[in-house]
Amino acid sequence: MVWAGVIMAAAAASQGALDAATAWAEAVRSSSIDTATAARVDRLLDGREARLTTRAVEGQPANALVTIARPESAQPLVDAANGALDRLTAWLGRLPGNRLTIVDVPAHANLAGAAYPGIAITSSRLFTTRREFAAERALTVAIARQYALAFADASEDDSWFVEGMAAYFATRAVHEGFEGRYYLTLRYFGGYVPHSLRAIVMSPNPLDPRPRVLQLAEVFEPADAPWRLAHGADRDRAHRLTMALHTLERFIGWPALQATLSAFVERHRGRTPTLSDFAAVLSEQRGGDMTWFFDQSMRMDARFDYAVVNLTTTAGSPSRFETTVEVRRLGEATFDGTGLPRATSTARSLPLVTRFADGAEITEWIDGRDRDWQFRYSSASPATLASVDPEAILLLDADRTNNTRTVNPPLHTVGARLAFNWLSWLQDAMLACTAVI
Amino acid sequence: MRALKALGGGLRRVLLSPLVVVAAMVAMLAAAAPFAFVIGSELQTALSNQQPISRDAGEIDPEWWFEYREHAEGLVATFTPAIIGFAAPLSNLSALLDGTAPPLAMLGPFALAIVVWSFLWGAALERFAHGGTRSGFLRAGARTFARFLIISLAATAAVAVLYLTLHPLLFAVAAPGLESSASTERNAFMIRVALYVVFGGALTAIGLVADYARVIVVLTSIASPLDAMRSAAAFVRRNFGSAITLYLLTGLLFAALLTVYGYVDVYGGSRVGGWRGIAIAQAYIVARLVIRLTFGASEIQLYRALTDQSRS
Repeated sequence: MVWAGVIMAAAAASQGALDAATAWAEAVRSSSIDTATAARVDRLLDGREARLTTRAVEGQPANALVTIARPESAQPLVDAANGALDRLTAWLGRLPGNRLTIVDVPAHANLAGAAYPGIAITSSRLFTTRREFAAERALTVAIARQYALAFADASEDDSWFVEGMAAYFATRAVHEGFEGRYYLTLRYFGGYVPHSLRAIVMSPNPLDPRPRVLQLAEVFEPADAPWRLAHGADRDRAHRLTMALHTLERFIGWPALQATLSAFVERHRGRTPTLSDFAAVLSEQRGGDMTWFFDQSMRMDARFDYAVVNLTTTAGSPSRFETTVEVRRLGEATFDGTGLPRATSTARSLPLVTRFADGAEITEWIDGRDRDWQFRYSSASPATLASVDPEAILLLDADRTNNTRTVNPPLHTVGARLAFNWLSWLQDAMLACTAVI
Repeated sequence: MRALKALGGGLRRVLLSPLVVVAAMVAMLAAAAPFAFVIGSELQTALSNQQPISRDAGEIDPEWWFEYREHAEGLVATFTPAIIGFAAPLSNLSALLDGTAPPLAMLGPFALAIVVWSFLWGAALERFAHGGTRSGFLRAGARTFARFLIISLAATAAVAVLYLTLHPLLFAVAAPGLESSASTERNAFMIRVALYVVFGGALTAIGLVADYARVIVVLTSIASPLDAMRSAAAFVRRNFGSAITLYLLTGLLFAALLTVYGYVDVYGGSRVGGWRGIAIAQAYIVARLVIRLTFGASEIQLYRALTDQSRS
């Protein structure tokens, strides 16, 4: 989809306040929300008003956006909803259904981020900070889930697939929606008092090549919420799928994955897709078999773990250094990088970078299906670092802390600073624990 | 009025005893530094083994931090974002009231803190009560150390009982139902605050008895820590108004300190980040020590005023 061609003729025009209870009853009638939750929300609508906004996208039927919220919270929620819808429409196509009801309930109802077909629930907080965007982020998550819910008549066995997709859409929508302005916000005193940490940007600039935070609390918590589509072991599978999609995004790039997702959502709207269907669309879009990716990614009995297990660099002949790098696959899952069998082909699955003190760098490629690799170099200066998957493509790697080894590393000022922060924290903790004893 | 006068007198005593404040600062730093050194070494190793894509960046990488925490054990598991700046006192205070169990590895630093303060209180209270003439700082600390340690351990046991009985009753049994029945978040928050007041009141009672027991050991001829605690309980019961007023006044000082720290942290922008932020955190620790010592000195003043005891 070419986003530049989409013209939002929208409609911030409110068509007058509606009765909140009536608007909610209407939303419940056209959704599959369970009766208990619907009744619970109904009891929490005191002081709330409903507003109707129409969103029109050229060439598509208009979407009605009904916001049930306190008057002072309504506009920020409408703005956040429009932002999320713009983004998701650009990525995945038209929002499922013709009407979306946004309802803002008190936070202690524990419903923020819940989504049912045509209903997105969020919570505006009593105390918040300028950098938190709690209600807006929860709303973005709930709206992103609408796309996955369009597959929700999937059989029980495949619910993890929908949940995994939902979490991926939601994480991505939050990061893009709040890029550069969403800071880690911790909540204290029963979750009522927030504090944003300016030192930790959760959604950095997309040009930053480092992986974004994948475990966003607003996406994954509460893990056992009744509105989730996967529970127990299925939840683990859903989580694995989400991680696989993040890995896939880093492996093939967002434009390629976005095109695949868009085609997949459009093709399976209102149907019951499976992971195989997704793999088929992916293979079609990539022009080659990609089933290997999910065959390995979704192996729940195996984990990915590639590690640099040895890096030695010693002075050899005059002015030469002999370096040995050993890499091992510690997990049973393999990052193949190809659909062709190992017997007939060698794949360039993951890079191994070795850096030397004079700034030289050597990149080798390993076939992820093998078990052990050893590389020897003779160089003018000693090696300083060896790293397998240095760009952190394989986010499914269960332990990325063993991907890199260094020799005589320099002092990290960030680490020293954090250690001093920890010192202050410990002093305060010691004072707190002895405050009444 | 007596409480206010005692607070003023206590503050004056502390300001006139800068060496006591310095000793407390050094003691706290010395107690915490070895643990911080261990954490620092672990961090340097971890940062060195970061994938190069993260390693070359100058600022904190949250994804690396979360990944690192997943594999962290022992003391390193306490290395959470809550250690940064104003989040540190907030998280510690919140953990105290919410009853968040510390990791087992924290028992070492906590036990050390109890030992350190058993010594420090002896030295500080002696100085506040009798000046520097009766015995030297170290000798004074050593003289009452064993008794103060027993008082602290008894208070620790009482606090543990509170956390095992009253806390779950209030926050695991009563709070969820009460809070979820509230129609607004404001009402739910007020309910929580009320429960904090109840639990905080019980903690305060234990704290007051332990504090005045130490004062009694220093000011009177009562030698046994158990007798001192008994006398302290009787004193607090008899003079509840004054004792609690002094406690609240000192609490206000602490609240003011937190407010200033929070304001500086929230509105200071990038000017209070990095190393400057650490300097501010250390200044906060010093101010907190001054308030704690002021409280001890004020309790001596109040005890003397209320028992009409001569300085000798």
